[in-house]
Order: sequence, then C-alpha cells, then structure tokens
Amino acid sequence: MGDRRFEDLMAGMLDDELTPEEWVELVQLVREAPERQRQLQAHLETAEWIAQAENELRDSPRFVAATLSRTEQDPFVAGVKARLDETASMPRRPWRRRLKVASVAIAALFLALAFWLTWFQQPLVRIIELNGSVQWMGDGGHLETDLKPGRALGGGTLESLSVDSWAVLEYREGTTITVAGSSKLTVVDGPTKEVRLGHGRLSASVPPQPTGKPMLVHTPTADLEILGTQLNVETDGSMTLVNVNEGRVRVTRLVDGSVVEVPADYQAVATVDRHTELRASQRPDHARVWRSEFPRDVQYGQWQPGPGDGGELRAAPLLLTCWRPKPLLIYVATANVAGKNSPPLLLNANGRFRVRGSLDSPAEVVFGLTMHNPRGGFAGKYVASKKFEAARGKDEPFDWELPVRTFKPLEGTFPASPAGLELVDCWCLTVRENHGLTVRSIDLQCKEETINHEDK
Amino acid sequence: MQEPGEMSASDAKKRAEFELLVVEHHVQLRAFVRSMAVDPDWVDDIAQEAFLTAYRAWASFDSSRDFGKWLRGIAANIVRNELRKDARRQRILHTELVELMIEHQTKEEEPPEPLALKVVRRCLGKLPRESRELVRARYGDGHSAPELATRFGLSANTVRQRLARIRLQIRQCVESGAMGVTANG
Repeated sequence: MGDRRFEDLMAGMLDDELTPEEWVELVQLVREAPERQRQLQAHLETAEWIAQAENELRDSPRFVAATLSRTEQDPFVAGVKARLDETASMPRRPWRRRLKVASVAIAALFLALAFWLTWFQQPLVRIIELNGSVQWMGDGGHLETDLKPGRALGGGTLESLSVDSWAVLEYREGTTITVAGSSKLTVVDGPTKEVRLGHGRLSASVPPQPTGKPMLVHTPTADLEILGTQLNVETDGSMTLVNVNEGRVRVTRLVDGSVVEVPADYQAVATVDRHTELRASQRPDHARVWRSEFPRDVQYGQWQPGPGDGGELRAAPLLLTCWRPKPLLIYVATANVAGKNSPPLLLNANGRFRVRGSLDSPAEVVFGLTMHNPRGGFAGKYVASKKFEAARGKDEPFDWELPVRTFKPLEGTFPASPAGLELVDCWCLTVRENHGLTVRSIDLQCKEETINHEDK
Repeated sequence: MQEPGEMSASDAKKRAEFELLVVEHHVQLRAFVRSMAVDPDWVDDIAQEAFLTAYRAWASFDSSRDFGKWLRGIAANIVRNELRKDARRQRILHTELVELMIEHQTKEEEPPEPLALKVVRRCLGKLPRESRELVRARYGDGHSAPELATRFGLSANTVRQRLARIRLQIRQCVESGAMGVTANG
C-alpha cells in the first residue's frame, strides 16, 4: 500500500499540488525507506531534464548567457577589494601591528557590507538584447544612453526611441519583455513583478508564476494580470490592445473596473469608452492584402490633408541622442498595421509592397518593417532602401515597388526573411537632411504561394 | 593601462575556462538542485548562484578534484542555507523533504557524467505522438495535471500516471544513450 500511495503522492508533487496533509504523508513515506528517496530523486532529476529540453526559456544558451552575465564584477565590490588590496600591499611598520586586529575587523566589515549589498541589490532585470536608440532612467533620475547587453537594471524607465530600436529585458526567473519602436516601459522595483507601459508596444513571455503572485502590466487604460503566457500589448494612451498567444490574461479596464479573461488566440481592447462592452474576441484570420488608411494608421509623422483620399503622412524629425559618436537626426513616417481594427498580416515570399509618396530633393529612402512571429512575440526588424536621384516634388510623386524578398534583417539573429512573419508596422525615413519625404499610401499584396508544376 | 571595467588577460582566460565548465555541467547541476526538492521556479537561480560561488572561489579549487562534485557541494550548501531563511523567502518546496533529500544526496558517492540536452531531446523524439504532446503541454507550456486532464479528455490521475511512466522511459533512454556524448547542450 505504502509504495502505491508514495507513487501517487510523488506524482501529485511533480505535476499537481499537494495539500499540507499530503506533504506530511509524503515526507513520512520518504523517511521510512531510502529506496523511495532514490525514486523521488530520479523523478525530480528527470522532470528537470525534460523541462530544460522542452521550455525554450530554460534552454542551454540562455542559461549559460544568464550565468556569465552574473559574473560581471560589481563596481562597488571591485572598489572595496581594490582598497583592501592597496592596504595589504603597504609596508608594515611596527606601530601598525597593533592595529592588525582592527584592520582585519574593518576589512571583514567592508566585505560583509559588500556581500550584503550584492545580495540584497541583485538586479531586477538584465538587458539581453539591444539595438538602436534606447535609454534608461533609473530611480535616481540619471539618464543613461550608452546601454549594452548584459547591463543589470533595478527599478526605472526604459525608452525605445526610434523606429529601428528594440530592447529585450529578462527577469532572473526567465520572464522576457521586448519593447520595440517608440515605447516607454517602467520596471517597478517591488515585491511583485510589475511593469508600466506608458506608450508603445511590448511582447512578454512569462513562465508560470507562483500561485497568487501574477505578473502585473499596467497601461494608461488597463491593468493586466498574467500567470504564465505569451502576449503582446500595445497602447497609445487612450486604448490598450492585448493579444494573447499562449496562456490566459485577466484584463481590467480602468475607466469602469470591468474585467475580462482573455484566453490564448483571443484579443481584447480596453479604451476610455465605458459604454462599449469589454470583451475577448477571437483573433481574426491572417489577411494577405492591406492598404494604409491615414490618419487612422498614423503612428509617427505629421498627417496633413492632401491629394489622396486620406491625406498624406509627412516624415517628422526625430533626434536619436543615443547614436554614437554623435546624435543622429532622421525624418520618419511610421504607419501602424496591426491595430485594433485590422487582422494580422502574414507576409509571404511572393508579397510586394507599393509605396507612393514624394520627395522635395534627391535622397536615399529607407523602408522598414517590424515583424512578430505568427501568433507570437517580437521577431525582428527588416529594411530595404533606394536612392531617388531626381528631385521630383509633389507634382511628380514616386511609386516604389518593394518585393518582400528584397528586405534584409537588421540583426543577424533575426530570421533571414520577413516572409512567414506577421507585420506590425512599417516606416519610411531619410537621414540627416529634411528632404520633404511624404507618404501618400502603402499597399501590400501577398499572393497565395503556389507550386508551379511546370518548373518541376 | 587597463580601463575600469576592462578585463585583464588572466580574467578573460578564467572567464573562458569557466564558460566551458558552465556549458559542461549546467544540465546535471540544475537536475541536482531540483532533486533536492527546490521550487522549480528557483532552480536556475540557485544553480547560477552555485556557479558564481565556484567562480569567486576559483583560486581555492584543487584542479585534481572533480569539478562536478565540488559544484554539487556548493549547491547543496546553498540549499541548506535556504532552510535557515524565513519561510516566505525560502526557495524550496518543503523544509523536511529538503532535509531528507540533502541528506540522501550527500551520501551519493560520485556525481553522474555531464549530460547534453540533445540526448534528452533525442529520447523525447522517440515517444509516441500523444505522449509527446502531453510532455510538451506539461513541461513546455507549464500546464498542471488537472489542466491537462481537461485538455486531453483524461482524468487528472491518469495524466499523472502517464507522466510518471514517461519520466521513467526518458530516464532509461538517457541512461542508455548518454555515454560518449559531449555536454554541449
């Protein structure tokens, strides 16, 4: 009877939850027979092997990188150590011997203080990936623009400033948060895992959280409670769009306190309008055709009435202060694609963009894309560019065709092509000078991929 | 002159050697930490602390000794220290069970050979489709047995029994196939 009961309790411990009485019973059974300790050890070890192999957040490269990043010398400890080394190398004089005991005591005190500080000031999060203009303002209000992967952070605000910038933060237990494009994220230093998305987008992969301690994401219009999931959140201050890819998220609309549970493959929009129902709706199927509609899709730039139906979007200046060796001025127009009213757009290798617009003077124009994994988080950024030699002005607009195949990833770690990924936003920019870049429309056509039997 | 924060050549060498050891030992060290009934959410954290302690105490390590065994000793001490903490801050599942498991673990004579995750993945790949899905949902997505019971149309008890059987199969497969495979993850 003992072994059958032991196996039941062991399985309960590994894959479910035990009551306090069951814990007592399990401990008693383990205490009775050393063989049961071996059995339990084997199941726990094997469960751990499988978890490492199956959970991508715990795979080898990630664990090794996280461990190595923690070996970086803490500046305070290094400083104290240097002072102690300096003291130790001083020539000893007889009268100093009397102070030997006191010196050792002081050194021990310093080391204890250093240990205490490193132990209790362990970083909340670390930057594990970074690109473009990203800045950090810690609790003391000091602004840092020269961030690097591996940098440990406490509470403070991270801002991704440009269309081509992104940053990935990782908590010690494996939760990752990616902010991309123009986004502002405050990491709260407190007993619960908590962030505030002021504006912009985040993707979060959250491993199962301890019971009763969900991760919290706040936006200007909603509070999100997350127990373990992959989700994407977007907010512009007046609405929050939540797309849940895995797991389940509880969304509370701040304007009236209404609550909805959003399961996997569903989305919810929390606005400031209390008269519409807050509900979870299934994410629409992928679309393969899209046309910009201004001003609805304006994310960055100056919208103005113009020749097209919806007017036109003029590139606006953006000073990238984090650029090295000196700040870079760009003129950029960004269109939001994956908005609350649009189905997700899946690019394929046959896809073609068509950008219509104008330039006041010759310039190289960069056209870029932000992509998510299908039903997943941030996947990468891609660009293509073209030199427009003739200054055409508004009377002679350009008409630029860009096959999806021509886009290149901004980072070697991204998939080689945006084909097969979901389009989130796209942008057009010129660098340094204002060439009067204006976008009238952006079209995307992705024909179905077919096998041409004649080619076989 | 060395800039503040810049690594000396000896530091760089030490770090490179250390990286190899992390790659080689991390799978089994994490399994060891888990086997002392540490809360699964804190396994990686404690394993990292063990590596960091080893890194800082590098000078005191006798290279003729088994690094894996030394590392396990450090990890066992870290888990032992958990027992002295306030209950709310403990990173373990159950105090008495941890005491028993540490006692059992420290009696073990030799640590196992380093293990590569590809061996585990290869064994997982041999499972029948339904078992594979069950494992993925449990260990990849983190669903508990009652949640899986609803999803797979089984009772929670059946799910737990199947997962226990799968663990035994995987262990057998890993133990028969791990020999001679380098631990590169």
